[in-house]
Order: sequence, then structure tokens, then C-alpha cells
Amino acid sequence: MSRTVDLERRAALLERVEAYILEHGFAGLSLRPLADAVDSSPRMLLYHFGSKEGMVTAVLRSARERQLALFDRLRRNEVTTPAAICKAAWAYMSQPKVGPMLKLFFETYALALRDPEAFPGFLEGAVEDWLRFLGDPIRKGGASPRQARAQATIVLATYRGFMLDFAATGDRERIGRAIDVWSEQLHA
Amino acid sequence: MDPTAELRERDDLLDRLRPYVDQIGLCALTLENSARALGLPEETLQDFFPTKEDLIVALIARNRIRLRAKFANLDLSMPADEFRRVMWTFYVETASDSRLFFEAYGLALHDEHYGDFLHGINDWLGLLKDALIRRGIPPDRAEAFATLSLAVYRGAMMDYCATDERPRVNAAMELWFKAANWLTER
Repeated sequence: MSRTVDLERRAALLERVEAYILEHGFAGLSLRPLADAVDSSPRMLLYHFGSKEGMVTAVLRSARERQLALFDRLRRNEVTTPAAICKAAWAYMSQPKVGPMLKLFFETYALALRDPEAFPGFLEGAVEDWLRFLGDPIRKGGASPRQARAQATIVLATYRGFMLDFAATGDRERIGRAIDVWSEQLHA
Repeated sequence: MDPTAELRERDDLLDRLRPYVDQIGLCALTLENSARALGLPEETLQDFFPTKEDLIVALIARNRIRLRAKFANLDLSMPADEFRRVMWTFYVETASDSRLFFEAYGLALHDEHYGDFLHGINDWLGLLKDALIRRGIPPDRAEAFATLSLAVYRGAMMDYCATDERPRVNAAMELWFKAANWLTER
């Protein structure tokens, strides 16, 4: 098999693995049912990803890359203030089609808190990448690095808390009103 | 056995199991490893909790009751700013409960056995909302503000549990205390 064909097959397989994990989560993941669901075999999965851990790492890496690409897009569109970022993020995340991703995020977060090594890069992507994305424009606006990180931290925490509430309750209106109250202060 | 004694024994088992739960996490819990941790035959544990799911549901409920009792002991008449700081200290001191909460939450999102947990998630919202109304905030605004406050504490705990960076998260909470004063005083 040529290397290009191999990489293409791996990418296609990864996409199907991602779809499966989106539906089933990482907890209790095992190769056999996964292989059946993606019309592959445990042997092929191991060939492409080396191990189950290698496969999990590949899925997480691709999710983190997508998030960084999203940050780039927002930066290019000059969505850089905390208020604008959160407004854009809420508009996106509150769409019904994003629901499964949101659930998977919180499920993985809980698993990663117990066992960070099993989810390489996940918590860094969930906290540090966001802090950098939110904090950089604040720092460019004249805040000290420490102030910028504190501000980025509180914005991320609040936004994440809203998402947690939303994933559990789906109460779009109540959370929307709370976000409005929060924005009063972000704009102040 | 009389029912009260049985309930007490059940609660006692849950409390004794808790350090083990904090060590391995809810998701890795089985009746087998729990019984081993308690030094009991699995059948004895099964008399109280027929399935692993029953055990996990009971652990979550027990934790909720304990936290509610602890919360009920807080003096709610203190000034609002002080109350927010006390709340944050409360969260930090009960960080292992937050971990359990996030885990229960992750389980509940994917497994209908734990669906009740998601319905109960906003018990705290009612408590906080009532406290705000008692302080003279109009009900509509109180609900929005309670939703916002809970989001802040939970989100900050997610960060703190993941990174352990207390100075940074505390500095962020100082910004929240300021913002909350601004929002409630205008």
C-alpha cells in the first residue's frame, strides 16, 4: 500500500471512529464493537493507530486541532473581545446538532480529571488553549500577563459553567437571560 | 433488621466507601472492587445495592445530602460580598465533591440510569435564587443572576480540578466578586 493511500485510509477511518465515539463516549470503549460499527476490524484499527491508546490520542489530537482552527477563524474575523467570543461561542454551541459534542466534552473532562494520562492533551486543550486564546487580546490591550490570565480564567469559567448547565438542562431561555446579565458586565 | 438501623448501615457503608471512590473514581467502581475495599463479601454489599448503578446513584445522593446539610449551616445573613467569598471557600474545601459531581455528570449525560441526577442539578439554582430574592433582587433578575453565579463557581471548579492552579483561579474569582457587586448594586 502506498503511503498516501495509507494516510487517506487512516483519515477516513479516524473520521468514522470519531463519529462512533461522539455517540458512545470514551468510557468502556473497546475495539471489537467499535471495529464492527465502523466496518473495520480490530487488526486494521491496530495497524493504523498502533493501540487503543494510540487511537484515543489521534481522536483527541484531531479535536484539539479543530478547536485551534476555530480560534484562528475567530481571530481572522476579529472576534477577539471576551463578550464577542462568548456571544459567538454560545450561538454555535446552543445549536441542537452540537449537543452530542458538548456531552462528549463534559464526559471526557470528568474521565480526564481522574486519569489525565489516558487522555493526552485533553485538559491542556480544554483550559490552556482557551486561556491563551482569550488572554492574548486582553494582554495586547495593555493588561499585565497575570491580569490577562485572571480575566481569561473568569471568562472561560463562566462560559464553561453555562455550557455545563445547558448540556444538563437544555434550558436555552434561562441560560440566555443569564448570559445577557453577564454581558452587561463584560461590556462595562 | 429494623428499617432505621438498615438505613444507617447503608449510609455508613457509603461513607466508608467514599475514600476509595475518591481514589479510583465513580466510573471505575464495581460491586466487586467496592466490596473488596470495604472488606465485605460482595453478597453483603449486594443486599444493600443490587447493582453497580444502584451503588453509584446512592453515592451521588448521599453526597448531595451531605453538601446540602453543610450549606444549610452557612449563615446567609452576612453581606453579599462576604457570602460569595464563603461560597467559593466552600467549593474549594469540597473539591473532591466537585470531582464526584463532574463525574456523575459525565455518566448521566451518556447513561439513562443516572438521568435523575441531571434533573436534580438545579436544586442549587433554587436555593441561590431564594437567597437573592430575600436580599431584595427582583425574581426575574434573581434567576438570571443565580444561573450566572452557579456557572461561575462550577466553571472555576472545573478549571481548578484540572490544573490545581489556585492563585490564578483565585485571582479570577476576585474579578467575579467585583463584577457581582457591580451587577447587584446598580
